[in-house]
Amino acid sequence: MTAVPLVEARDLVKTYGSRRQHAVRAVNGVTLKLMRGETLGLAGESGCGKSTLGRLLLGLEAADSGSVDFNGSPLAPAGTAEWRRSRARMQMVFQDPLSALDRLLPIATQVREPLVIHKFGSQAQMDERVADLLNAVGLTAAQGRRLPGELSGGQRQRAVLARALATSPDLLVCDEPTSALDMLVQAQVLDLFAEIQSASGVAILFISHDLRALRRVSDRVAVMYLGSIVEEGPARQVLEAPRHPYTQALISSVPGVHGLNPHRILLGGEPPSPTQRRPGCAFHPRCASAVQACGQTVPAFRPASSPSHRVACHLLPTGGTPAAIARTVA
Amino acid sequence: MSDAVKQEERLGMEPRRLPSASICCAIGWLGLLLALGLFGRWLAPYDHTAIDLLDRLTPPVGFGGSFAHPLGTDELGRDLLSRLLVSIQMSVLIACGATLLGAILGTLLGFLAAHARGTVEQAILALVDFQATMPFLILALAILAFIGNSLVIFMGLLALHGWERYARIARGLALSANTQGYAGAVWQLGASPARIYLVHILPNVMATLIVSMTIAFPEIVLVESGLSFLGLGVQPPATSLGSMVGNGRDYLATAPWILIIPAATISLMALSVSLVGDWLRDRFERTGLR
Amino acid sequence: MRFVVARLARALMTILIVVSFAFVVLRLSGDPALAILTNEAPPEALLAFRQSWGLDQPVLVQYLTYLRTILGGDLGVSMRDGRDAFTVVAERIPITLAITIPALVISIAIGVTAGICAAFNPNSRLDRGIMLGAVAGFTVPSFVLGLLLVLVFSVWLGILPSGGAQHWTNAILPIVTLGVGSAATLARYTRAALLEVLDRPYVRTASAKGVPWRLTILSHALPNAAIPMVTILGFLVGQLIAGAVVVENVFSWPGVGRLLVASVASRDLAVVQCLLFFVAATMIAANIVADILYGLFDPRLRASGGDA
Ligand SMILES: Nc1ncnc2c1ncn2[C@@H]1O[C@H](COP(=O)(O)OP(=O)(O)OP(=O)(O)O)[C@@H](O)[C@H]1O
Ligand SMILES: [Mg+2]
Repeated sequence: MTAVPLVEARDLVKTYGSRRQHAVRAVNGVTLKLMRGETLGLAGESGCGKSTLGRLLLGLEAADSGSVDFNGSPLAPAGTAEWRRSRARMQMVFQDPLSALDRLLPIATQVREPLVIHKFGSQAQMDERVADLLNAVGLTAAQGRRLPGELSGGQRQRAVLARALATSPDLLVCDEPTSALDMLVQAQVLDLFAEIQSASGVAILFISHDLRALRRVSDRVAVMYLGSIVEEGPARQVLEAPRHPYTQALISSVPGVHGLNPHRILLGGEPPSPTQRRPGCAFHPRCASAVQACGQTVPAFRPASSPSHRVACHLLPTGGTPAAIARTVA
Repeated sequence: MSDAVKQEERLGMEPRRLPSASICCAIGWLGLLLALGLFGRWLAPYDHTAIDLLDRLTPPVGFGGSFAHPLGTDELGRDLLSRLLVSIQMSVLIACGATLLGAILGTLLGFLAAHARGTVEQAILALVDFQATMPFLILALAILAFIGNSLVIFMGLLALHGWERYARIARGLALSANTQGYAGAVWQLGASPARIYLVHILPNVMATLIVSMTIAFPEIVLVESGLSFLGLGVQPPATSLGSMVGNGRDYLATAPWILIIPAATISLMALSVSLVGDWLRDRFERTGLR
Repeated sequence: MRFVVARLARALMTILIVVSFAFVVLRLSGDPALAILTNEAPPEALLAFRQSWGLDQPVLVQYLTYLRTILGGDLGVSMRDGRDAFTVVAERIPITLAITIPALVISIAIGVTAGICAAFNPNSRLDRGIMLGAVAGFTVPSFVLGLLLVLVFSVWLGILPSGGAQHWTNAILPIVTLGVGSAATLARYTRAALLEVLDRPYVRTASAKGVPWRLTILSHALPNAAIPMVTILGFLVGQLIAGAVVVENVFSWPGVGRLLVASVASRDLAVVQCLLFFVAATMIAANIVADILYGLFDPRLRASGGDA
């Protein structure tokens, strides 16, 4: 692990809303590394701060505290000329491709746009590049001449992906790129992501609720709860042998081939509210195995089964892993 | 049973208020005015300022006049047809110019507010509020009183009419495009603000802006003709439809045609633009292009 | 409470902008001393004026002095008749109210009725006729309408005077001319508001339950349609003021509008400025009244606590 990570985030904090009572701490002390060519899956329930973390890593928003280094140096503030130039190296793929595309411009024109913005080369070179990109994401030239409204959801997401890949970026943040698509198309688009990833060597932060989608594309997986990462490690280990009680609950709730898992762990208590924080582990009010320490101190990140699999939980040395539950995900 | 059905009808779509025949007439009339506005000056049989005291107050053809002056002459014997053509040109030019200038000004300020946020945005919003609160005619009169009048000032002044509507629309649509739409996506591609606003947002808000322009245009025609009628707008020797009406006022009893002809032209012009505007709005709403 | 404070803050802001607007155009007009005083004013008076207004000071100081003078109630002296600009304006106000208030009342009566009739029978010939009339009503310029009325009723029929203010019959044509524009606006607005309310589920339910159609409108829809209609009060007042400027000049009615045009023509700036502030105050008051009425009418606002 001597290489410089592509992205390195340290102690990121982001709070929304200025008034005391209504302040939402969307990201609460996240430290994260992403290596070149690696795919990191980010899971967690709705509202836990996944999208916010993605935007912070891309420098689309400024963190309240903490830092993000890209290729070893910090990002320029959003909106500056230098920041604009750096966009060629990092791109975002959105959840809803229809609203991410300009309804009045043909697909090919929009795929070409980053090339124009970042002065890619002559007209002919751009034409060629656009044709290659459309081909790579599985769109025909005829589809490239259509407007976004004339394509299907899956085709639009392919177009957004082609646009994001136009400048051969080093980093792609994909925020639930498949959740607006139906099941069959989801599978195709996921395969496309895996294919593109191995062909271009781009590093991907893949945000999704869908653990099976994560499993399909990720090298490593991180699980977020209420603004913090609670467990992180190689995809297999996290998804098959989760150590944090929240990850275990999350994984057990995934329906298997035979419907809902009869042994699934039901979370009690109130759903989390990012406005009212209690001391200690963020998850302890809903954790079935919480002990006294959980309500007092925030657990530190500690290596679990292997050095690269890390968990933030007080129960770690003794924390059991219901293997039967984990297997349902596989 | 029939009651419910009838009610459905009543509650149903906004009626297509106007049969398309009237829309066609309106469009035809506007086209004619535009053509006259562009070329009328060269069709005019006389110089619009040429005085002929021997031929004063001749009525139009059909009311005892001759084809030498098809629409008659005024109190100085000036040919009314020539004056009408020149006035149409002036009024159409001023109204088009002012509408366009106002749309550009308002849209730019709206985009600026959406882009800059903070104090700049608050200042622009306060100005919008002010402009929306004060009747425009009063502001215009105050400016004319303080600064004086010339054709350029007058057109610039009329351009201030209604800018706040474009500003509001442009700001609102730009904000929503920035936060959850294509504009935000293009922003993170690294596009410059000029590119985002001009290449992406502007075409997307164009339909709405055009509808607002069709609302502003007749209002500007009315303000222009009103001010000119009061003698505070277009100054002689130039003439506009409003100042022709103002002129004709003193001869209302003896030579009503001097007044009726330009008055009818203004009214039909404003009416036609309103009708076409309503129709355009209906169409945009139906196609979802807003 | 917060609502009231925000509303007042907005009103103050508008006043500040109006005064600043007057200051800016006054500065652009050249020498305010010459503008506010007369050309024939003795040099000592000009000097004293420049000093008292601080015209030898930097612009910012001038601006603050100007603000202080205006907000202190000193609105200058009319160049044309040498009296206080405020007095000159104040004595014209009742004359203008004498035509604007009847015009407002009549246009509300006619406009709302026409709007209801149109909404009762959407798409019918009556509806189309009313709506076409309404479009014509606010696109035909008021001076054209006024002069046509003069042509018909004074010149041809000879039953009404064409101008002046000697007798109450002099007021009829100005009132009618003024009222047409507001009536047209109101008719269109009433119809739209009613149709919108009639489309709401609870009205549909009421009529599906067999409550007679017209009764439904009167008992459910009308009160609800009144809520959005209150908001155009400010607009109507503005329309009436602008209309009065033109109409008073068509009919030689000696009100505020005629004073304004005469003052603009002779560049009597103190009076113009005073009229500007007067109109601003009226508009702000109208908008505040509209907001208060809106609060009274709207049950949601009333229910959401006494602080609104
Ligand atoms: N611009 C914003 N202003 C205020 N609050 C925000 C903003 N963006 C996010 N939040 C809040 O921050 C928290 C985290 O939001 P975020 O969108 O990052 O969650 P998420 O994990 O992506 O959820 P989802 O899975 O639903 O997309 C939420 O409580 C949200 O309400
Ligand atoms: Mg999200």
